[in-house]
Order: sequence, then C-alpha cells, then structure tokens
Amino acid sequence: MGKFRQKGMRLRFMVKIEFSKDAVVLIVDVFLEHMFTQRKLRMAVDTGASCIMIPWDVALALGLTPELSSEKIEIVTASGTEVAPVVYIGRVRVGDRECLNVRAVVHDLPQKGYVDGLLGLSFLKYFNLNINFKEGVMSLD
Amino acid sequence: MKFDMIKKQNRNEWVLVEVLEEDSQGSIIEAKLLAHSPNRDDTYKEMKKTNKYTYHFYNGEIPTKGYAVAFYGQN
Repeated sequence: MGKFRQKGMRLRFMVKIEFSKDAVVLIVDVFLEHMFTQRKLRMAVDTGASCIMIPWDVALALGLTPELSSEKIEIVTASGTEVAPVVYIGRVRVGDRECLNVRAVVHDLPQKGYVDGLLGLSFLKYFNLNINFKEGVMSLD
Repeated sequence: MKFDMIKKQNRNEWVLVEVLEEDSQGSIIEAKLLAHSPNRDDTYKEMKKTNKYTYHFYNGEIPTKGYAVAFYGQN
C-alpha cells in the first residue's frame, strides 16, 4: 500500500452514480482486491452479463492464475465461440458496496470498447440496482 | 500530482496511475502517473510490473464519435 491515504471516513450510504442522459454505455469505477493487490478499473454495467468480465492482463496483475483454472465458460464473441476461464476475485467494490469471492470470467474486451471489463450479475445480483435514465442517475443499495 | 492535472495532460489515451489519496467517496485526489499510451497493451504491461494500488482508465470520450458499443455472450 505504501503512501496511499484516504481522506475522511468511509460512510455507508446508497451509492449514486451520475451519467450523461445521452450516455450509450454506463461506466463505473470498480475496485478489485485479491491477495492484498488492489486495482481500480472502469467497467461497463451489463445486466445481461451473468458474470463480471476482466481482461487477462488485469487478472494476472491481481495475482490470479486463470491459466490454471479448471472452471471454464463458453462465450460468444464477434469472432466466434471461445472458452474462457473462470476465477474468483477476493473483493469487488463499487462505492462502498462490496462483495467477497466474486465469480469472474477472464476475457479481453476490444480496445475500442474503452472499458476494462463488464460489471455483471455475479456482483449486481446482491444489490438493489436502480437506473433512472430520465435523470441520468444509477444507484446501488 | 493532483489527479485532475494528470487527466488534463493525457487526453484520449489509456492512463495508469498509482493512487496516493482518495476522498471518502473513493474519488481520487492525488496520484502518480505510471504510464500513458494510445495503446492499451502498453498500460497493461506496466500494470503487471507493479503491486501498488493502481487505477486504469481511458481518458477520453466514450465511445468516440462514430462508434456504438455492444457486449454480448452466453453462459
């Protein structure tokens, strides 16, 4: 952790994320921690994805070993069907809402997606997710 | 360095910073620039070299003009 500081107290309240009313992708900052390694990334909120999706490089940077995973998942991409490994991330947090040991599939999204991964149901299903497109606010309670 | 300054100086690139200070909401206040590049592979490569608390993001308009985004798959 070294020089990292956190100002103030982390309060527990509903997480509210504002987005542009013209937004075509809902993007959130997602904190990942595994074996004392901490990363924050941008992910697209995807209620159609059964799992969190993280890229290979991020999985390796977290100290995960997707190449050794015995659990696989079949995913359909633009280039065809692929088999991707499943891993379990120690801690996943959005705002102050967090889950432990969260299932994630390891697969690279195209660079032109401009996000690192997808925030899918393996995290979202534990919360009350409200998306108000008229006001441009997403809340996680 | 102030995080806002890093964002101003590295527009339309992938950016990797070490997080030095956050507020109670988790917004980054102070950070140290570790890597920036138009190519995401470059910043991922740097991420794998450090065990520090990092933040990785694309610092530009998402999506860029002329692009739409669709993610799809099956379980």
